[in-house]
Amino acid sequence: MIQLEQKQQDGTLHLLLQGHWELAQSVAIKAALKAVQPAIAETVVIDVHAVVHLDVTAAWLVYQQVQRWQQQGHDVRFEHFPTEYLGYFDAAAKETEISCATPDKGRLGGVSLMIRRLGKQIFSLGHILHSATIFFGHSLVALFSSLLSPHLFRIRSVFHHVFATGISAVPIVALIACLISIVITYQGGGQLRDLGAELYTVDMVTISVLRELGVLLTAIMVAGRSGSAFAAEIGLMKTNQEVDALQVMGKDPFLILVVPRLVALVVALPLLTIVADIVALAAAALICSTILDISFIQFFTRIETNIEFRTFAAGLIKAPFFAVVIALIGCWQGMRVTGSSESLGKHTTKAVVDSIFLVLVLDALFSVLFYRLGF
Amino acid sequence: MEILISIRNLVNQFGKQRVHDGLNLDIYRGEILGIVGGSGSGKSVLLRSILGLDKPRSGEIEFSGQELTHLTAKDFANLKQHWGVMFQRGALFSSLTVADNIQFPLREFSTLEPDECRELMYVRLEMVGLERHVADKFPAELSGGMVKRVALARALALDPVVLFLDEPTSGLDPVSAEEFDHLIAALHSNLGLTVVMVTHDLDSLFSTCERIAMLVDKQVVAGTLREILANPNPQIQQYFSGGRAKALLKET
Repeated sequence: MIQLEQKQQDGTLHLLLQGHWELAQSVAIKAALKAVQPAIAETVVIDVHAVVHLDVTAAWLVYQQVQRWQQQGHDVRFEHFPTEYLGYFDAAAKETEISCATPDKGRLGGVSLMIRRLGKQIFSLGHILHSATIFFGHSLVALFSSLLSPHLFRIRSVFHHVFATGISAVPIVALIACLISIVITYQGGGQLRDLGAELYTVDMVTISVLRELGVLLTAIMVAGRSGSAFAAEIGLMKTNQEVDALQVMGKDPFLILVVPRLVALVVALPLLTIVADIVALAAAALICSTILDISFIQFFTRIETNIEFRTFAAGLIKAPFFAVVIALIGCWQGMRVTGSSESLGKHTTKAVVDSIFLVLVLDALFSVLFYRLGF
Repeated sequence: MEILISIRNLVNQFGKQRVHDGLNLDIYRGEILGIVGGSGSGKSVLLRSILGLDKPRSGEIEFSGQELTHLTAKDFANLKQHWGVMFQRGALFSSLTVADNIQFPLREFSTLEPDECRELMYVRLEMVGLERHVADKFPAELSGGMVKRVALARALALDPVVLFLDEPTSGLDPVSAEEFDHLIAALHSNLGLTVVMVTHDLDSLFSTCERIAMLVDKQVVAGTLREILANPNPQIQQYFSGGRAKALLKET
């Protein structure tokens, strides 16, 4: 509890502070100080000798009030006020004056602000492109140098990443493929049965899964699982200066960190795609036999006669390209992480979003290319 | 002297390894206590137990007469507002600027206006000897010494009664470390703080700490530097018999 006693004595106002002047009492302190109204040109004396405990915040609140009184033309005298506190406050206040005195840069108008923002965006875009070019170039160099001198190639690391990105992803990829195939068979099969063309369900499901959905869903799944993992792993190593340590030891971090992940994903993604294709077709066959009365034998005979091998190949051939995109974006974003935990989160998110976006762009390009080639 | 923190029969155990076995320690109001001990002797565990970060297996810890292990979470949280803690690597919030880091406790636990918080933040920066322009930087842009000072400023934000420092001078160059020791001593005398520091730095131990609590055989031996040095325990003698300690002792 705080107490503030006012005593008037020949033209001076004595303020006697008592009790615990602490941060927890800040509301009461401010109210008590506001209630003091010294007469014009009266000297104020602040006496704190009776205070049990005066902490910095409470003292500063008193100091603030004193400044206001001084501006109103009062003489203020401190008695028994801790001089160390006054030293801190005066120094901080002096710096405030200095920083206020330095001229403002001036407010920018709407248009110039927009131009400035646009310029900044363009510069940052240029910076990103620059960083990406350097990264991809360096990765390519590292990849080729490890191909030319195989002892640089870290096969154990590749196995580890094939396991982490491929084998441990099999259950979830299989489940997704199974579910999406069930959805298509149900939706498409129902429509085609009304036309009496239920046998065409087999063609529809097989072509859409083998050409597009199998590889695309697998790539999106892997981008979410492994792209983010790459970015986070490398990002944390970067903040922990492990990347610097490699560099100082004369080891190219790209050879050790990027190349194994790239190679592993290029191996793993096509294999996962094959798994997804098999599971999707099996699920489709099961649904066809239960709702459309197409037996397994009919289903697979139909595939054998109507679907060419290149339908399967057209899907599978895209997988390594998607893998390269996912691995490189993930590693690149990891390398761009700087110090803070916020930046780690930002770049991990960017790794996933950008790689899924680029996978879809690449898929669209492949569609156009295959159409032109008649593939 | 008034006892501020009193630890009785503290037992800490991880798996089969017993770190503290019936440890007793009194910390007096207004002193600077240095907690020392070899690596793995349980200095940090002791500090974490006092701070309530690790729950001890048994024993009592009293803070100005209140038994901490039986407090409700709310009472404990209120009590902790009287503590300032500086972690070894600063533990500044990396997504906030220095200004927001120091103001964070004020904004969360006080009813002060935003511009008052800001001005008080500048006062804290002044107290730890940092310049004003540091306020708008992010922790990642600071040097090691500055991080420690900002962490100290944040620990001081709520005008604590007691300041806990975990390895305050580790990772600092000798000049910065000495400056930091002076800073702590100055704050201690200016603000009347109780300071408890875990340290490896013999310089700060000899120059700053008034009393030393040394962890030996899962217990604490406490006393002034002179008393500790006079203790015949072989572990204590070994700790202070290295070349660095001897050179420092000669000076003092």
